[in-house]
Amino acid sequence: MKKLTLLFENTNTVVLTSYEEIIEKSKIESKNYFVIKQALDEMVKENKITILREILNK
Amino acid sequence: MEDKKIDTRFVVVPKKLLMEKIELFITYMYISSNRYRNSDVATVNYKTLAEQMGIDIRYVKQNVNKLVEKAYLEVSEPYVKKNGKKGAVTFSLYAVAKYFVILPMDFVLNQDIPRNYKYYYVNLKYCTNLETLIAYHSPNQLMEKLRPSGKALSKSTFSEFMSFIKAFKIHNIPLLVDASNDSEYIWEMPYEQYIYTTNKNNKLVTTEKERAKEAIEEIGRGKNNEKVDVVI
Repeated sequence: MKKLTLLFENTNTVVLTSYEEIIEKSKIESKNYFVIKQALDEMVKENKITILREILNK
Repeated sequence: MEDKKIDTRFVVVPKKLLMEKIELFITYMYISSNRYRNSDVATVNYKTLAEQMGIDIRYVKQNVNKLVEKAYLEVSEPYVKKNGKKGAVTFSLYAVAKYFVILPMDFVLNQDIPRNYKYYYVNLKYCTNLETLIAYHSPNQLMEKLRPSGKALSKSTFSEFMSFIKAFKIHNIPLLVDASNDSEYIWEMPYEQYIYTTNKNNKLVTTEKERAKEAIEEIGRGKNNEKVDVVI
């Protein structure tokens, strides 16, 4: 489980989520970790979110 | 083979095709490799396709007919040249399966690689965790999973394939980083990461990325999430 703590800049809210939850919600066909990583990176660049914490557990 | 028409990066194959006969799978890979960039359409002459695959043209046509019957692709009537001879046909590929297997194009087109090895590589990817691109299997489990449907896989073939795949590199990037011990195969697929990081504008990746962004925003708006107000 790869947990994420995200700060949403527009609402100033902090949300605890995970890569698995994002994959499930987006229903992406490849189920690829790197697609999520890219999406997160772009949203950080767009100042939409800040990644406060990222825990990678096997 | 016209190099300019070859998508040099990768080929996307419906996962359902893994369950089909190897001849169909290989034919689909070669047709797909003739696409231009990210197009869903490949225009190629049957004769050229037969030369690329190294098999007789009648077998190519047989395989194409089966792929059409199973709705993996559509094929047009041949283009008629000015001299009246038949030319290229256009293949339209369908994304009929829910999941896809992405293969490095260099690997698909390399004539030095036995065709069976390409098939085993797809199966190897198929039994890899697509989220982490890491897999853990015992040699026996792995051998069972790499076995073509309805066919036996000898220990020597399996061993030869594993030795080959562990040593194979594309653009100096290994297909497989191996951390095997006697009781377990542990591997990572760094080339897959390379594909995603160097093909950000690919249609499949872009669409999935956009969907992931929407899902993240939805999670941010979600009522069921525990929200904490932040004082800055």
